Amino acid sequence: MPDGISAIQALWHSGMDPRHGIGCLGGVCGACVITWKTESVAFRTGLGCQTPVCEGMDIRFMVMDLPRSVPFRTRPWETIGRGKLGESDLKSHFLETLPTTRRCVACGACTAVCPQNIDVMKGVKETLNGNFSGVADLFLNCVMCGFCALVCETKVYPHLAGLYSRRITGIFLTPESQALEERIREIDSGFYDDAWVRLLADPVQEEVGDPA
Amino acid sequence: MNTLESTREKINGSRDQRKEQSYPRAAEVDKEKVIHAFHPDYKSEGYREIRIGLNKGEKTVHELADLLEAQSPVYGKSVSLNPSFSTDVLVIGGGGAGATAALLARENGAGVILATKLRLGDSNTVMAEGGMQVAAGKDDTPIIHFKDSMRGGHFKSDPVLLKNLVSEGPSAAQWLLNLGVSFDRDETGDLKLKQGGGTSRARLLTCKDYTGLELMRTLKDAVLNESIQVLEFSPIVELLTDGKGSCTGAILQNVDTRQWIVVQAKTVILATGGIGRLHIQKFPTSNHFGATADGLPVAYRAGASLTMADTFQYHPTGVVFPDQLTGILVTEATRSAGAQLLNGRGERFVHELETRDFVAASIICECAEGRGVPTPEGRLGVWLDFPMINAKNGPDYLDQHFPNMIRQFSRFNLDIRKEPVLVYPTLHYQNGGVKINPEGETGVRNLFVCGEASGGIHGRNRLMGNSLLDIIVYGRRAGMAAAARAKITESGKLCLDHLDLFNKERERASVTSTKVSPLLFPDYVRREDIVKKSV
Repeated sequence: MPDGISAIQALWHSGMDPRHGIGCLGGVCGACVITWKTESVAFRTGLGCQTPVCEGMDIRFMVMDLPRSVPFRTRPWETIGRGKLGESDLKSHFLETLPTTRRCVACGACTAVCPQNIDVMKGVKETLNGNFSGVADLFLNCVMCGFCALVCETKVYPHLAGLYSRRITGIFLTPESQALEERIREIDSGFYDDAWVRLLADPVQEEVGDPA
Repeated sequence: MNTLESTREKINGSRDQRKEQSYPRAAEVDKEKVIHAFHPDYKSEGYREIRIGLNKGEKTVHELADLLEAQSPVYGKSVSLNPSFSTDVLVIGGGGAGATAALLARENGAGVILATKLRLGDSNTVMAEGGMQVAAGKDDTPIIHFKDSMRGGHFKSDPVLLKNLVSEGPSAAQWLLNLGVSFDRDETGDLKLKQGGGTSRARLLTCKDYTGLELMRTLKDAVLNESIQVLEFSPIVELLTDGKGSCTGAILQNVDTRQWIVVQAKTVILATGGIGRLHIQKFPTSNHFGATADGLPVAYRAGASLTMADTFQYHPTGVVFPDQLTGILVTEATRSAGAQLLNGRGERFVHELETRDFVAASIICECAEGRGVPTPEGRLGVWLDFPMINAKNGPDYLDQHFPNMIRQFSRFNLDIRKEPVLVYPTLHYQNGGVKINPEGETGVRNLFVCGEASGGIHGRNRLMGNSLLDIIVYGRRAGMAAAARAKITESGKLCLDHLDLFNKERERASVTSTKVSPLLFPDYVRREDIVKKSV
C-alpha cells in the first residue's frame, strides 16, 4: 500500500470499486464517513477521502441512509416576515419540528463520533435553550453525514437540529440586506435599461471596467 | 537547482520584505501570448475534430470527442419503454442547479422527479469555497459585473445569457437568503463583499470558505421538504424522444441493480455538471467523484448542439505537495486576501488577481521554463505563500476566514499559518457545454439544460464566483420555463429513433469505436498512476 494515500484510494488500490460511500472527495459532502483504529489508537472517526492510511490500520466505512430532512415548515412563517420573531418564539416551533431533541441524556456519543470535531452535544443543548444563532455558528462546518444521529440512543437528530438552526437563523434572526434590496429595486425599476440597450448593441467594443 | 527545502526557507525568510511589494498587471497582448503558449486549451495534441453530430468538424479534447461519438448503452438492446414513472418535469442531477430547477418547477405547479447519480447534493456545488458574485456593492452595478465577466471570458460570452446572469444576481441572492442561507456580514450587518480575480469590484458573497456547502445543504433540505420525488443512485443513460425532435423522457439506470428505469416526462432538465473526472490532458481535478459530463453525450445524441466545447478551466492553485493532498483546491479567495505566488527562485511572476486562465498559464510557464520547484514524486509546482495572509491582515485572519483550508491541511499535519504550499493548475470547470437559449432550452424541444453542463454564459474563461451564480439564476430560469412548458404539453410517445439516426451517422463517418457513453464513473481501480491524482 503506498504510504499516506487516503482510505478511499486504498479501496481502489486493493481492487474495490464501490459506488456508495464516495462523494466529493474533498471533505465536505459527508458521504464517506469511516471509523478506524490501529494498535496504538483505540477508536477514531473521520472522512474516508481525508484520512491517510497507515500500516495495520483497521477501517470501517459507515455508509449511512438516514432521514436527512428536517420536517421543515417555513411556509406559514414566511407570511409573518423576516426578522420579526425572537429566538424564544422559535423554540416551540423547533420542538414541534424535532420533538425527540428533548430526550437527550447528555451521553456525548454524538460529539465523540463527529468527523468534523463539532461539539455536537453542546449544540443539542443550546437548541433546547433556544440559542439558535449560537448553534448555527457551531454547525458551520457540518457536512450532514448524520453519524451523530446514528449513534444516538434516544433518537435525537443533532445534524438536523444544526441545519434547522442555520436556516432559522438565516431566515428570522439575520437583518435584511439593505444594499441588496436597493439594488433589486433599482433593477426592477428599469434604471439600467438604457445602458443595457447600448451595451448589448456592442458588447465587445464597449470599454470595460478596469480591474482595481 | 531549486530544492523544495531551500526555496521554502527562502520564502519564509523573505516574507516581511514582500509584504508591501506590489506586482504589475500584464498588458492584454502579453497575456494572450502566455495563454496561447502555455494554457492547455491551446495544446493542439490534446485536441481532435468531432466527426459526427451538429458540431461535426469542430475541435475538442480527445476525451470529450470520444464521449460524444461513443455508442449508447441501450442501442441494439431490447428495452421495454413502458415507463416506471410519469411526471411533468424530470430533473437530472442533484447539485445546486438541479435542486434549484426542481424547486422552481415545483413552485410553478409542476409534478417533479429529481434523479441523480449519487446522493442528492453530491456535486461540485458542495465543494465551492470562494463565493458567489453578485453586484450588490454601492460602487458596483450589473453593468460593471457584465463588463468584468465579458472581458474575463475573452469577449466570447453570449451577451444575452450574460446579461440575465448579472441582472438576476441580486434577486437570486435574495431567494437564497429567504431559504435560510447565511452569507458573511460586515460590521454594519449588511452583506460582506470580497473581491475575486479578474474583477474590478468586490462582489463575492461568501460563507467563510464553506459557501458551496452552505448553499447545497440548504437547497437539499428545501428539496426534501417539498413534494419532489428524489431518485438517488439513478444516473441517466439515454434520453427519450418522440421521434420528431422533442424530448419526452429519459432512461435511468439503478447503480446497484443495473436495472433500467424509464421515466416519461413532458419536459426534461439536464443539470448533470462538468467533466473533471475524465482527467482531460491527464490533469488532476478538483471535481467530485461523479463529474463525468453525462449530460453532454446524451444531449448530443438527441440532437442538441454544444458551444465552446473546446475550452476548460484549469484552476491555478491545486495542491501538488504534500503528495497526499494532490488535487485539493486552494480557493482563489486566499489570493484575494493577499497570498502570493512565488517561483523556485522565490520571485513573484504574476499579479495574483489576474483571470484564472492567465494565472494558470503563467504557473505552467514558470515550471516549463525551469523556474518551478520539483516535488519528491517528480511533479513541479510553485509556492503559494499562505502565511502572508496573516502577515498582511493580522494573526487570526486565516482562522476566521479559511477554517476549511486549515482543517484540510491539518489532517495531513501541515500548518498553513506557518508554511507555504506547492501548487500547480488542476482541471476545474467546463467553460462550454450544451447550447441554450435564455430560458435554458436546447435545440431539442422540451429539453432544458442548466448549470455547468450548459455553455455560452462564461465565454472561454469563467470568473470566480460566477458559477454559483449561474446554477441559481439559470436553475431558476430552467425550472420556471420547464414547468410552464409542461402545462401546455401532453405526455409524448417514447422512442429511441434518434439513436438510429445517430448510428447511421456513425457508420457514414466510419466511427468504429466500441466505447459507450455516458461514462458514469471514473475507473481508479488498481491504477496507481491515476489514484494519486484523484484525491
